[in-house]
Amino acid sequence: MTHGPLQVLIPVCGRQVPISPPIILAAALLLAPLATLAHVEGGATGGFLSGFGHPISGLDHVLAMVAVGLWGAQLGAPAIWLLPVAFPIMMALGGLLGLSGVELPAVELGIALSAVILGALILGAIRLPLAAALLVVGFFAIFHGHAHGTEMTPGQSAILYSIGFVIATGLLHAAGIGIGLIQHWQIGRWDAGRVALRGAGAVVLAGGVFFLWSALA
Amino acid sequence: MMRAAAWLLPLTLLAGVPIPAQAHLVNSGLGPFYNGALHLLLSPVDLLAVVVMSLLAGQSGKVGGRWAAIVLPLVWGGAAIAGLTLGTAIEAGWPGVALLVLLGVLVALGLRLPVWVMTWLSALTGLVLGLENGGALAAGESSFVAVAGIVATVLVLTLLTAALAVSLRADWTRIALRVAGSWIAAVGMLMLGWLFQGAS
Repeated sequence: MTHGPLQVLIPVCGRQVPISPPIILAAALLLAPLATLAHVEGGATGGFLSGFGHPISGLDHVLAMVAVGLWGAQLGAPAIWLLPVAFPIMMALGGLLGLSGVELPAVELGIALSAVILGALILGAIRLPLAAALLVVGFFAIFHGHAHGTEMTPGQSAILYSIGFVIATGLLHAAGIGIGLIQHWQIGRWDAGRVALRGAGAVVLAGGVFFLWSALA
Repeated sequence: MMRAAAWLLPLTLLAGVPIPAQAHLVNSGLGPFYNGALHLLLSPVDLLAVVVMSLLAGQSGKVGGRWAAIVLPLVWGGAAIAGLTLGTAIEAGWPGVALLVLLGVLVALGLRLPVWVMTWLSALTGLVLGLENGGALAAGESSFVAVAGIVATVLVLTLLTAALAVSLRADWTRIALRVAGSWIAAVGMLMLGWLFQGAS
């Protein structure tokens, strides 16, 4: 069956096609069994990455986190930094409640409502008093922590999962604040930035309505 | 030339065949002193406790920072020696984590605490985490030299972090400090929940 010193003839559609050994070896290597990657990363790296990825992987969570930053940017100092300071602590309190076995009613509804309410507040450019703003953000943060802070894969480092989870949440707030800075943009005398920021609120509101619909369906 | 090039594809595929990675660090390989230093640097709760205590001390001013830099390593070292000598391993872990929450909230609130409060908080932090360290070292048949490594690392970290916190002047940097405190408190709170569930 050989055709020349370095070729093998393979029958293809009734014709003998010469195939060189490197091609045969390459094809064989493509069939080499690879390590199965069906398990999550374990240990320290897995714990941190799992915690870090968790807030980012859920769009409902992402919307609310970014919305907190957007609203803080819209309200200005001191809300711009007080809201992102209060949110992680209240979110962790929600996680603590969840891990302690304390049940919260309608957690998914609470998460969806957080995007609806925050989106509406940004869209309407509503300036609540600071204490009320903190109350709104803190209240909804408990639902997010209860739902998402308690979903660590068994066997991973709890402290590194927690660190990753909190850092990712904080970075989402920072992203919201960064986006919120568009409010300072002007086109001539037109406050285009403020309109754009309210438009971002409308996007958050629309996303929240979608998740609310999904939670109720 | 063409024949050699034909082997490029299979050889590239061969190089890509995965083999198990050996990436775990067993010890520093530099003796017990550096093992002790690494023990602290690789223990997130201990590391966060030193950082948040130093941030709080620095936030309260130069005098608070100086006292923390003296009291924290000294008490930490004394408690670690006591734990190592008595062999009393504290398995719970929650006192150290609860301290993270307390200190993190104090940093997040932006409080300038009186020096005596700062000193007592430094002593409490050193006592709790030092005892935990000493107990853990006793279980691993470590020596007092490892404690010296831990104390030296605590000292250096406290000095650097407190000095950084004292030096912050711009408003946004003070805010970043408080945000860091809130993050550490949040981590501590979540960790308390995990400890409640028996995780580590």
